[in-house]
Amino acid sequence: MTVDVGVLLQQIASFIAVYVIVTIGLNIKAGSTGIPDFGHAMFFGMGGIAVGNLVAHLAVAIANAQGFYEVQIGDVLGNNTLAILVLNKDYLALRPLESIILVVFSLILAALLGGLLGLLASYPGLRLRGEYLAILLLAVAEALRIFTRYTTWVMGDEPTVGLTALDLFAWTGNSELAATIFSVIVAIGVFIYAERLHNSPLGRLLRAVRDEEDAARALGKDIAIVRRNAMIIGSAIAGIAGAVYSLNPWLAAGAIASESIFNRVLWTFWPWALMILGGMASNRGIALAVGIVGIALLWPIRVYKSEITSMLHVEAVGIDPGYFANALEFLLLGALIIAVIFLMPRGIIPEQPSYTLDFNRIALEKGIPPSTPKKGVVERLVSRLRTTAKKQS
Amino acid sequence: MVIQVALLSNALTYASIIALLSLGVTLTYMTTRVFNFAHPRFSLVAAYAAAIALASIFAMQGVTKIRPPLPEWAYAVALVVAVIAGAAVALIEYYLVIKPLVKLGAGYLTLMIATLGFDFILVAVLLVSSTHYSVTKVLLDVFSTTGSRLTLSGYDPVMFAAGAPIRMVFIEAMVFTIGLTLLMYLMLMRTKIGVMMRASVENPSLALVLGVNVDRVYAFAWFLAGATAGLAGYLILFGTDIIGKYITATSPSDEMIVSVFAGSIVGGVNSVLGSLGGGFLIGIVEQLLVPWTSTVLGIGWLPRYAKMFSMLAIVVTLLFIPQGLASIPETRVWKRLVKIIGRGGEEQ
Repeated sequence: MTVDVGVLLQQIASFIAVYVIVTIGLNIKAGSTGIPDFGHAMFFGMGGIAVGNLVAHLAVAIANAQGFYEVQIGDVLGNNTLAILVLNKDYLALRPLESIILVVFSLILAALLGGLLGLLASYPGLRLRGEYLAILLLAVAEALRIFTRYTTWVMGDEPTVGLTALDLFAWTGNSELAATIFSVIVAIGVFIYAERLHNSPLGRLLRAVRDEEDAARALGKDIAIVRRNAMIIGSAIAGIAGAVYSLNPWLAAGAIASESIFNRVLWTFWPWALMILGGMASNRGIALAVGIVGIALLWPIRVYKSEITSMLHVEAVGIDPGYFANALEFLLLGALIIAVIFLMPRGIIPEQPSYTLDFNRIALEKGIPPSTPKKGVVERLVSRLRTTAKKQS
Repeated sequence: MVIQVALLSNALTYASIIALLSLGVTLTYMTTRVFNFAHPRFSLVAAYAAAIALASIFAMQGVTKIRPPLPEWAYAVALVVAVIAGAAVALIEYYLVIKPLVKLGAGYLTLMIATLGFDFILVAVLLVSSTHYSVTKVLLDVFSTTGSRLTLSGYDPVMFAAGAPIRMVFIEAMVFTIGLTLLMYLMLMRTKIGVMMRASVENPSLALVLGVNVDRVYAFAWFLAGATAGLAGYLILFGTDIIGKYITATSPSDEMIVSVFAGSIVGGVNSVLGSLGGGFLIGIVEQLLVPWTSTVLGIGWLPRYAKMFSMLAIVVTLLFIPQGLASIPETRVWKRLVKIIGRGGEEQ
């Protein structure tokens, strides 16, 4: 059993990156705002469609505009595999600038599509609560999965094989490594954004809506708009995760299939499990949970399934090693979910109080004279005694 | 004509399976307020248990490579084993996962996620046990099928009525659904346990005060849910070709789960009889209405999207009639219908 450490590290990093992004997207909706989104996979799938379909068209259009006519627009869906392979090899590999522009476009388009779908999905989300909403979103996501699976103008002729992915990092010479680094950078960006959101007034508002809707309404906040905004932000982040997945050869393995990007186990149930494990509304907890699961349990198992099972010698007790390897992941996930719910219902790192900016710093920025330094305990006691004395007299 | 009969009976069988599973989802939701993601999996557990039990019995008798018409007792044994297995898994889930969590005061989200976790554990157990070498060997020896691709639909007896083939599964499916509808009605309306059940659904604390053992009533609801899932599992085992190709640890329950929830929701999640009706309706729409519409209108691509309609049914129901079909006031609908028909008659 030989393990290529470099490859393993890249795979783990890619895995952690995409799951951090997709789980943080879910966390903004479910953890912070309390929208039980069981259709998270559909927003993720939007990212895949953005890269596999729209950006591929865009790439061919740019190539044609620059005088590269080996691939025509119609080939993107008509003769997908061959067209994209030619494009990857003969055009994108030689064009760093265009590739970078397309990467940026992928992220923007994925976020737009995801956000748009989130906006649409928020309309039922305003009318329904609780488990009804969860089932509704699950059903919508499944409906979309079936729709994309059989609709050729979305996902091509072969729904199970899928669209061939653009290789936008071919110009670096080592597209796997470049894609991994790109994924990690995006994940760090999303994490920082989520942390800032958590501590921002909007983040506090989201949690206020989750915890006490009536109080938030009494303070003049429009609950419907708050929930809609949370849906849009979380779904856009899920779309970005889909784009990152599709652009990363370690994850998508060069093909964007409707069955894998709309997979409800991978992109709805796994993020839910990871969010529960890390702690609802706790970005750090989620990052830690994804890290632990990615490094210690999941990715090595997924990649080195056969080696692990052959080491365990399960066939000695009559268990089929191949199926045992498949069962291992399910067993792990199921046991993990139930154990966490029972033992750590608030997650590894429970929700943190939000940190506000120092008042004096805000005052300095706005040109207000800073407040007097805080009084000590004795002074406060004395002043309270004085006021009570005043009242009594 | 012959093909039409087969199509119709298969669609009705499928609809019955969905209805039976919807009933279980509704029962568990009504009592413990949890949408059980693991519910369709119970039927697979039941199907595997029945197949393995039958194969073991035949193997003990020294029968190998058995030919299609099984002796009659075999079907009875399969049915009993399936029901027991389904009920056992449901009770395990209730006592090991749901009840402790409810005691801890878990919310609906935690409960849903927990059923998801239980479902994954069931998948793992099914994957490992159904492909265990001894299981594979006994299934291959007796039925020439394997645990990873299980089907006994070849052993389903076919009868001919006026030249049209009628499968045993179809008759059984009809008997199960109609019988259960009657039984459920009688039980809820006429028996003590039914009254206790309705009381503990409507007001658990008051029922508790009046001496109803609410916990036992809930357990009974889970038992019923598991047993009906077992019935569905029996139908899936002998009618595998109606639903999909094979039974595996994940299929056909993963494909059915949304239809099952749709049936439960369309029927109104708080109505036992509504769930049977809703499930039946969803099955009919998926299997009959969509293909027929597509042939009538000449739209060839429509049947591929058949499953989408059950999902859209969820959306429409939840948004417009959130209490489901059971909430539609039937007396008013009848009056209006009578009025419309009556007026039509006058005009003529």
